Amino acid sequence: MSRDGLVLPEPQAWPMRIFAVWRRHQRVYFKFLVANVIPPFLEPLMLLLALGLGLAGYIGSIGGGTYTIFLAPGMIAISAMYSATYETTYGTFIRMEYEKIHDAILASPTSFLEMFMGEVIWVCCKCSIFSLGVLLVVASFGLIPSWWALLAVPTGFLCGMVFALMGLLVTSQVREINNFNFYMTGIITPMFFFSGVMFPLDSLPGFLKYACLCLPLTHVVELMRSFCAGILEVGLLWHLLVLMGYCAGLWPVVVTLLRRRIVV
Amino acid sequence: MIRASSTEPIIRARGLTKYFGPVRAVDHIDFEIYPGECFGMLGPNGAGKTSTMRMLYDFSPRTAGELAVFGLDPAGKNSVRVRQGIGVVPQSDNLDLELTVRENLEVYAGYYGLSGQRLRQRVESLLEFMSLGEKADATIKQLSGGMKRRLTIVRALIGEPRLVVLDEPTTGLDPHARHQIWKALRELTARGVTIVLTTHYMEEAQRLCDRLVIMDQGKILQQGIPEDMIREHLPRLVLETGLEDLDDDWRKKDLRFEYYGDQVFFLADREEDFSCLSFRDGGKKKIIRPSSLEDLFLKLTGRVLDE
Repeated sequence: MSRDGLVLPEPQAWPMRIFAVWRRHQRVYFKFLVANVIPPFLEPLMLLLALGLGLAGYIGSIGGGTYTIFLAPGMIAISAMYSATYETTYGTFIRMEYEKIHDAILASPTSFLEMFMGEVIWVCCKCSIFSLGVLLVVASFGLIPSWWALLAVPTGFLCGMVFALMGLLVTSQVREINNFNFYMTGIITPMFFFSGVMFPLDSLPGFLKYACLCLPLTHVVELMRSFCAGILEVGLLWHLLVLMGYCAGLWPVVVTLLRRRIVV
Repeated sequence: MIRASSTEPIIRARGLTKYFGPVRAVDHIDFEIYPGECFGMLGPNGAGKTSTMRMLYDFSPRTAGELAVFGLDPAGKNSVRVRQGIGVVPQSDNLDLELTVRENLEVYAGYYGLSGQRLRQRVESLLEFMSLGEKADATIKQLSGGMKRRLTIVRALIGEPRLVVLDEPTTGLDPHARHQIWKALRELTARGVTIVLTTHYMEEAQRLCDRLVIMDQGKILQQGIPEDMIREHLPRLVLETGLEDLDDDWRKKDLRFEYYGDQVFFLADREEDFSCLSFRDGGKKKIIRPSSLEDLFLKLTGRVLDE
């Protein structure tokens, strides 16, 4: 109660405030579901089809299975990576610079951190949805031998978190939308080629192999591949820890830099 | 407005200051805003109006000074609590372009914790309040500038705020749309909502505001009740004319004047006082009108408001 005798209304609890932001993004996204889901969903499938049909015959077996079975988990990983990346680079930039959506949310009873969490968690959920979608399609081709493959859904969430934070880090620094091209070509494309999606990293020379182990997508691919094959071993914890380490390291930096960018 | 002297202000600013890097946007300003009044911040672009406003709802962290809104510091642990009681209309519309009019209100209501039946009733009554009912299912792209503005205003009202801050609510709108918004704002003050608005239209300030501050370059030049401010600082009438229509000896007359560009403004209490002036071409272009806030601003700064 303030001194003028007016009782200030109580804001809703903070989890609900995060959920309100999450719900905003979800609502806008589902408004154009077909246009938003179909193209990014088809991309990894086309890749799978092209490489699976065109290349698999020359390769024989990798890791005890066909090349197509080797490729399928990687498709789940890259769909999550691209989904999070586009959403937090071009998507967030447009919301921030042109539509001023963040200004609108921050004028309501929502703190910066709540707004940030609502956006990041939405992106993670979107990645989970994509992971599940691609998983179901590749499974329908008989490429997924194990039910443990459903763990691709939480793995997609974690992958989304890492790439959402990376995307937002770039967005906090980019002043001109075309500059995202540098990030796409310089970081995301190499990630796509050198994370063991299309060939086992063991075939690379030593130093390059270790360099690839620094890429977060490598660990996402390893997890996806193991889960799809139904292999659950303690060694997977290492990949999980690396990804969580990326999140923990990026989180405070991204919150600080993005706040500085949006709140002036 | 009649106000008991014991009433606590809803907003109190002391030495409020905002720097953007080395640039001083707001420079040690003091003001109080009381419950139920319509308070204006009048000034040209760059006067510090928007920066001041953004500090009120803690969008912008202040550089120095004290600020209390509802008796609480808006920048701190009470930030969200303070904003629960404020509705904000920003300078440029920031609606969700992909959503319809109704969906925009529903999404925004979510931030205030409204849901279910309460949300639906609130949305319907607000659509009606701003005559947007017919456009409820239109997307934002289908709306005119005036409609977008009206939607941004009702969106700010969704949480039933007791304080509404509006940054240039009618800039760029046609006279009809402007009058619609003025009418709505008067209805709000009639219901006891406190309004803070910035404007560079003196007509808007004079029509709506119980009290106002005139700002320039981050400072408050004058504050008070509009009519009192004009009466205190200016003669009753202004004769406005072009420099080229005046005979050359006009500066020698015993009349107060201000000028801006090639316009000259003579000030006097009675119409007869202007009779000493002589004009080329019979003075067809001269206008005699009551003095206004615009003239006061010119007198204080040597510039016009809406350049």
